[in-house]
This record gives sequence, structure tokens and C-alpha cells, in this order.
Amino acid sequence: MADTEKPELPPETISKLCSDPALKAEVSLEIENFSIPYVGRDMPNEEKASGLQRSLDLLLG
Amino acid sequence: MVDRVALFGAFLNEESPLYTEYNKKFTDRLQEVEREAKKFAVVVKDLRPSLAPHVDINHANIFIAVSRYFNDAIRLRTMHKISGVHRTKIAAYTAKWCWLNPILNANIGYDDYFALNDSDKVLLLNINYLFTLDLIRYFIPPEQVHDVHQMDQILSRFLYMMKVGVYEEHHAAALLETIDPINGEESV
Repeated sequence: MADTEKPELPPETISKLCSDPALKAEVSLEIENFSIPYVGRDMPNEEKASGLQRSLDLLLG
Repeated sequence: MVDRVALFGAFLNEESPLYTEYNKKFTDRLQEVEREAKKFAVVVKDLRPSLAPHVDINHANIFIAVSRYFNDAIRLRTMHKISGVHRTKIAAYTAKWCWLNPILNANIGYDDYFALNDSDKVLLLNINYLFTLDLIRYFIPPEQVHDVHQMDQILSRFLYMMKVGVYEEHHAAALLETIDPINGEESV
């Protein structure tokens, strides 16, 4: 196959993908939630300290 | 002050639709990263009091890093027609720009540096990498992932990649997706 040619998915595969309920749910979830602003979580200092200690352990092997 | 400044390359002017649409999200994210940087600096100073005078936050780099993140997010949204950005991508892309534009800086002279113990030297030299990992944990809480030990392994790999200069956001996002269940917390 030449480099410029692109393989085409058979129409039934595309149709199957589009009708897959799990895929549809995932896609609509993304679209639905796009307008919801990401609300920063409250990360307590204790969690930060424990994360820092874990990172230091990773750093020092 | 932020709303008087055209965002880094993403906006042509304050009247443009992109500026109007994203300015609030941009400002919120800017404040988020700044707040987390301040909290991280406090934690470092509590853990190692000897480092307290030597840890600085670079506020200009926070602005540049968040702006460059928004360049990426808006490019994905407008050019590639991607409607949602999962938090793994938020974490991976933000980490990239915070790695390239260090938020936490070591501010120390030659003599003071060599007077520190080895453990403090390591922490100070790697402080921005450690903050970048903290930011990833902020966006993806470890208690929500499938396997926290796997997350540690991934973060360890990021640490290595940042140290040798090959951290790459697409690869990072793909790795983070393997541990993070989709939960709908998304935005730019």
C-alpha cells in the first residue's frame, strides 16, 4: 500500500462503533461535562507532606 | 491584574471571543497553581527548616506555565475539535509547563549550599520536580486511582524523565490514564 493511501474502515465497523452504548456514554459524558469548570480540590498540607515524603523516597530510590 | 494582560499567545486581544471564553478559567487555574505552590513551599519549610530561607516561588513562571497550558488546551479544543479534556491530560500538560518553567526555585549562595547536609541538597536541587509531582497528585488524588503503588511507579518514571530532559506530555497522559478511572471531572 502506498504511503498516501489510508486504510478505510468498513461502514459496518463504523456503525458498530457509533452504536456501542459504552462508547456513546463515554463521549456524551465528556461533552456534557466540558462546561463544568474544574473545581480545585482542597489538598490538605498533611497530604502534601505525605506526597512529598513519597516523592523523596522515589527520588532517593 | 490578570484580566488586563493578553494571555500568552492564545488570545489576540481582550475583545476576542477566545479571551472572553477562557479568561475566567485561566484566572482560576492560575490561582489554583499559585495556591498549591505556596502550600508546597510551606510544607517543605516545615519538613526542612534549614531550607526555609532558600525556597522561592517564581510567580512570573506560574503565569507563563499556565498560559502555555491554555495554549495547548485551546489548540486541542479549536483545531482538533476535542470537546473534553480529561484530568489526566490536565495533569500531564500542566506538569510539562511547570517542569519547563520552574515554579519553585532554590535561592542560595555557594557557601550556604555546601553547608547543607546531603539530604537537604538533594531536596533543594530537585525541588521543582518534586512540586511537579505534587501538582499531579493534586489533579489526580492518589486515593482515587486504581493502584497507588502503580501511581508511584509512574511518578518515579516521570521524575527520571524530567531529570534527563525527556518528559513528554502525551506519553505521560497515556500512562496516567492507565490508573485513573473516568469520573467526569473535566474542563480545560
